[in-house]
Amino acid sequence: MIDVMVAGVIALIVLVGAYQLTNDAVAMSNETYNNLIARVSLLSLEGRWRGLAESDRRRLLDSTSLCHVSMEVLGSWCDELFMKFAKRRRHSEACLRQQASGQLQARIVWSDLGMPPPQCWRATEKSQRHDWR
Amino acid sequence: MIGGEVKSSLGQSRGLTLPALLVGMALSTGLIAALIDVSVQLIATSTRVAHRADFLATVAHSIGALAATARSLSVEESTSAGTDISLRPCEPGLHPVGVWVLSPREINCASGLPDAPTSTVLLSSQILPCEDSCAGVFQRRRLWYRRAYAWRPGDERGALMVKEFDRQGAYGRAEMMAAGLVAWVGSNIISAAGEEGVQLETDWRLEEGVFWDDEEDGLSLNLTLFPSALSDQ
Repeated sequence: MIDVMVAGVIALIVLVGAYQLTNDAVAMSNETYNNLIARVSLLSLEGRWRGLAESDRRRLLDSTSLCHVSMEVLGSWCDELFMKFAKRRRHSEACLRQQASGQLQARIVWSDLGMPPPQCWRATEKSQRHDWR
Repeated sequence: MIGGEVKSSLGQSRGLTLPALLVGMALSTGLIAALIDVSVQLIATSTRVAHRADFLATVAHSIGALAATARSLSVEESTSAGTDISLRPCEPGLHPVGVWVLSPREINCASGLPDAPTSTVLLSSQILPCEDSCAGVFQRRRLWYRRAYAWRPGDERGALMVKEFDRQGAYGRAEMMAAGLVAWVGSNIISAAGEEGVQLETDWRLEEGVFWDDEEDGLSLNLTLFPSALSDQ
């Protein structure tokens, strides 16, 4: 009887380990998904940027958050981005800035729902960055 | 067992009654059954997650390869909109540099490509530095298109395919970039600065049951590409 109980405890420990590994694999897979969505969104952002008039480009650069004040400029881009991340229970945020060299730098950051909203240029956030001229 | 007690070989009682033993065995059996059930579920979940991660990584690689095609062009190298260009990728010689969405009928050597009226192909032409095979630079021309099946005709999974032209304008076997491309629509667009680019709407789906419940519709990725010199992190 004691042998069976010991075996059961060992099996439970192994099971908890396997459960943890599976959880880690799910989290990793979800991050692969998030990175893919962010990557494609950033590529498309560059495309939309190239199609904008100079005044709209200036508006985007002047706003701290790409989507909060610029929804009408980028059309459905922000909706699609937010929706894709929200489906996976994530906040997302997008920002754009121009370097002194003239290079444009866009970044999408995300965090779990229930956590503080992600900060665009904070180095510790989960993110994807995309640069172009 | 004598008188409902379990005794050792030396005849010493261990104080375990038959009902207690039966209850213990039943509990052990239940525990083992539960452990096996949970293990099976964990293995199934792990398998699904691994498939999903593989699929996403493959799609990301394919999208990255497509984007890299445009990225490797400089704005100066790309053909500006309005220029009268001749897209004859099957002919030898130098060709315009850029990315275009075409109908297979617009390509004079499109035999072997899907020729349904709705299908489109993406033609990319870029200048790359040579590595070992030549000196200086060489022109790389490729056709990207959707095949109706992934692994065998009729599987209805679809796949993103690419064919590369050689210097004489011929192309060989197609290479499958990623399986699971169920829809592929492309169009040519022109930026405010007059640059030519392409817009691609792609829908992807893995096998049944691999995506989670909230991803029943698969994965829709819309991509806008313009020739440019870029860097990423």
